[in-house]
Amino acid sequence: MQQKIRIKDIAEMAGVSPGTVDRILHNRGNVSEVARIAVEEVLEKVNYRPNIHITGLSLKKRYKVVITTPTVTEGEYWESIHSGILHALEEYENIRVQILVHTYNEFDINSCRDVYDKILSLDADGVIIGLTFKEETKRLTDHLEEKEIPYIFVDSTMEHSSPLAFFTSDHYRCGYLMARLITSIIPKGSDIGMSEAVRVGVQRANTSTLRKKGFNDYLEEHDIKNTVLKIPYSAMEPEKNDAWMADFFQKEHNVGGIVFFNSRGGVLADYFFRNNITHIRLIGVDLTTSNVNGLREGTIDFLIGQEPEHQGFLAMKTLIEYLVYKKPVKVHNHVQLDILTRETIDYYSQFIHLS
Amino acid sequence: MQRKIRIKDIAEMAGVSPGTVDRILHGRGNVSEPARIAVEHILQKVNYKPNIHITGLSLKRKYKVVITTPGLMAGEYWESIHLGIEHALEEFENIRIECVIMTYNQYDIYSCRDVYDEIAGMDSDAVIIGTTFKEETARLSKRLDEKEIPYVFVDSTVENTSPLAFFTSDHYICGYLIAKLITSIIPEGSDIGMLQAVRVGDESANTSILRKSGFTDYLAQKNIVNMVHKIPFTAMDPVRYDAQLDQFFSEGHTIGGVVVLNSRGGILADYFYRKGIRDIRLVCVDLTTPNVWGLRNGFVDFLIGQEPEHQGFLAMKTLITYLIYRKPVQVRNYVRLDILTRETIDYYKRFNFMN
Repeated sequence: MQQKIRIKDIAEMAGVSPGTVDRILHNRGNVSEVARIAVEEVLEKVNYRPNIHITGLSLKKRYKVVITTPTVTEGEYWESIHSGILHALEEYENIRVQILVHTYNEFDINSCRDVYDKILSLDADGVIIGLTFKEETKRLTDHLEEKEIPYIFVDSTMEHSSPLAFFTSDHYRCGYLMARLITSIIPKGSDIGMSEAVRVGVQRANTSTLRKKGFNDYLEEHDIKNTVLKIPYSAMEPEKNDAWMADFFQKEHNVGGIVFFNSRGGVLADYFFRNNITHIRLIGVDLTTSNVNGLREGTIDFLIGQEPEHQGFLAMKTLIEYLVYKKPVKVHNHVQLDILTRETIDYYSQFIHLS
Repeated sequence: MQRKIRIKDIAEMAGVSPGTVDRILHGRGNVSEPARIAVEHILQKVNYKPNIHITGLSLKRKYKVVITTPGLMAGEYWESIHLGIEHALEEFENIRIECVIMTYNQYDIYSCRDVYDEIAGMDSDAVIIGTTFKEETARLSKRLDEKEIPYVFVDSTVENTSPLAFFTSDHYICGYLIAKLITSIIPEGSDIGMLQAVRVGDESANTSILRKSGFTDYLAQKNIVNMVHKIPFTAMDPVRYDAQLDQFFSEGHTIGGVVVLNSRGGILADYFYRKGIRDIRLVCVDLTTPNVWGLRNGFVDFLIGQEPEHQGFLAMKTLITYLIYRKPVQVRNYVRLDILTRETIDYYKRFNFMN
């Protein structure tokens, strides 16, 4: 008979809401000490045994989770994603999760291919994917689906795939926003520069493609005729960038503003700073160390943040909960697009959701 | 001897981190079920009795908390502050708190004075103050200091007072930011309008004074010489809005943009909508229903948010924790300044901080 006690009954006996009992049973959310003690007293009294089977199982079983993203560099975007993932692991420290991190060079499609091949040979329980190259990722997810291994996307998602969930910002909207911001702050009729990453293998990164589309659509919808110029730069051979930029600015004199569709805007901010260029507006994406420096120094006017810590945190949390508790999962998840300026950056706390 | 068992020892015995034990003991934060069970098992084994004295006390004692803010209207700024306060109360539902809400008319200093006099005569355990009038609030604070009643400020703080804590945005920076945004998006040389509330008792609101000072300083520092015109409006008399605005816009200024340093920007968004005015930029503060409507429909260009839900939540949470545990409190607390546009508003989560 005791097994038929419902959460509602426990709540009534403890004098709290059913939501609080649920939160205590599933260890979610903040519950006051007083409420916790009252509920636990009742639980003991009625000999309630929540999920004892699952608990035993989760303690014994070891889950192998593969994380594959572009290479992680200190103070850069992907490090924030990883740090969010680590925060989720800390929260579930008693669940035995073995993490295998396999990173690839995001500017080299061949490197990505090799890493993905290796992942397929691992016997993973779940995979978290930060993708760059669409076709390659499609091949990976097809194989994962065949083997019935759940996978979650962070940073961006992809058509014709069936992830367990994705946690990304809306990149199309991000590009659209950047177009609106830059065109509203540059002098009328001036040219707009646009970053163009030089990659090995022709394919362009997924996020940049979407942002560029949003950017172009904004210009078209608003009938904006400013000339848009491409600024090439290389992430793999940064020593070339100075010469390329010098060359670009020697030829182009009517540039009013520049947008950087990936997180490398700091390269240009640094160039502006060293060459004392102050009349060109600059908009970048992601709170990397160099971008934040540029924002504080005033070379970057707007920086768009996309909560990478939150993305990583939610991806790992969702995966663990799915693996251990088989909880149903919401597939589409968009994080905030945060617009930051040098005035607001000091008040921006990146880990607010973890407090 | 058992009483000398430390959190560190328990952590070691349960195979978790001391932080996790602490979180379980205080019912804070997410802890995995296996961790909780492991820790509770040890706690039982060593007969650990956390804060039993305090618990007994807090269950019996009833706390009276007075909350005084400007009057509430659905979908407006102060409603969000109260929503955050309610969320904190839900979290501590088992602690007996009697909330006495005493609102005043923020456009009438005499209304504020009457309410404050009543509060000073009450026997409360603590007060949460949403301030509008500096002098009045300083007088109330002094009387609370004398009676040793702790008080917490939300929305803004006041000099020469000794609050237990305050939770506000940085209003000076907010005004500075508004100046930067509006001057970067209006046509060169055009004038700026500034909506100005006319108050009974001839005192400007605390936040507006600070924002105005930030606004003016930005223009002075950047040598910006655009004319700034005051647009008077009588907040208490909505029937006159249209006449006042008609009058202003017929005066022949070349207005390129308007700023509203309080949360009433929606009045202008609505006016622009009805009059078919599309070429005047608008920057305003707070995610009130009319402001968000204006943002979504393109009449407001930038909206600054100051996390009112978070302010209210933290104020009440801090106060309760202080009343029960007498823990030391961090006095100065600044929330974020969020810059929102119609592109980002759909992804903005007001309760991000609560999971």
